[in-house]
Amino acid sequence: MTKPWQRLLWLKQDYPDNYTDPDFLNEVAKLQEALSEPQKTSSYAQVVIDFSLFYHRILNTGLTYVAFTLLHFYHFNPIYFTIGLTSFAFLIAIIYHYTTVQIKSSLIIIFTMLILSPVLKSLSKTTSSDSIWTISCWLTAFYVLSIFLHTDSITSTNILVANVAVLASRLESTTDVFCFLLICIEINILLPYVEQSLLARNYNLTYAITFCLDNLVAYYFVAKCLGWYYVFIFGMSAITFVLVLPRYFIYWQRNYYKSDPYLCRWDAKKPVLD
Amino acid sequence: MVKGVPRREYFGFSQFIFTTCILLLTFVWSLAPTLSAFKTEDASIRNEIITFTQELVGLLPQRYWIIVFECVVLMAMLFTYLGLWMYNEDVLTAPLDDMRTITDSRANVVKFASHQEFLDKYAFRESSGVMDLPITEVCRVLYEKD
Repeated sequence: MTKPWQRLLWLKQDYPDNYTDPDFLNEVAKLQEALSEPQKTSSYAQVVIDFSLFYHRILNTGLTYVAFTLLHFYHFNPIYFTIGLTSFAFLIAIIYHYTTVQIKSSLIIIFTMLILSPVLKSLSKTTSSDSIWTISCWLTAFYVLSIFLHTDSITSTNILVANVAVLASRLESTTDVFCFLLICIEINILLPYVEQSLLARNYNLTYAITFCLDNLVAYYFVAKCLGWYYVFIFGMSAITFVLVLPRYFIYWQRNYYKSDPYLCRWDAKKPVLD
Repeated sequence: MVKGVPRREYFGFSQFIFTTCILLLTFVWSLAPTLSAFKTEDASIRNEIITFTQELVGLLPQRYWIIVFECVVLMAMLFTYLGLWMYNEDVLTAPLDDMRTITDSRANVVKFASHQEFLDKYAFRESSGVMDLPITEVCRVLYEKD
């Protein structure tokens, strides 16, 4: 049995040079049809919604830094906040999933984290703060990429824990490290999960409220810590991302992207130079 | 991943945006002058913006490394092209006295009974396919008179 023919010039294939695939002859009429029609584009509203979902996920990642700044610069006592957040998470898990939460595995994870906290605290103690901030920034960038690219893998959780481990060495005490780790996991893994299940169950209003609250917390915090210049800069970038970039996306879709399956398979590939 | 957004277009678009941004950033970053030279004496919005940009820029690798990286990539491309060309010329190409220079198993040699038939059917006439003429016959046609 010979291998199926592929439309790639650089492969050495057992077919003559002037071979014409029978599929092409079957699909040439549809290809002609696709060529004559104008390129289909998504609706602006849909793209804006999708982009705000992406933005929301990035904002959740930003909340990690809100928690870290509170602990590191403002010496905020995290114990009550952590207890509150964890109980709230348990409550939501019970309400939304109508099942008993697996106490055993939760306890195992919590105790592992308790044991690991002193290790995490001393792991990068000797590294200078500047390097820590830079490493943490890059880890966050990779974390955001891994959320969107490796959907089903554990990579993003690993990068998140690495980021927490790097940041943990700047905190005051082991309790702080433990609380920070717990808060990070709740904010970055449980919160997006809950928000997505809200969307999946069509609780759109609740989702919108969560979205607004997230924004409020993040921007209020930026305004308090860094000032209004930074709120302006972050807000403008967010608005550009959510409202302006979709326009460019649709432009790109119309002019550069080939969504039609027949067109992607059989069109002549032309390099785009502008 | 944001669930319910399985579109391939977004990945293509983000790829396009990322590569364009990285290219532009590399150009700007390797050519831009030192920012602190533009600071004014007293506090102003301009100083704020410069400080913010400097903070962002501090997260990137040093400018020296970006230029080094560009140079290394450029030189690697040059050496790759030269190396491939030399490998093709010196290793893959059969030497002049090799039998493969004259013919090989893939050759589609024309068949004929006599020299006259070769002259009539192939030597001065276009064939419809790609065919190889035997080198002895070609030499005979070209140099017999000398």
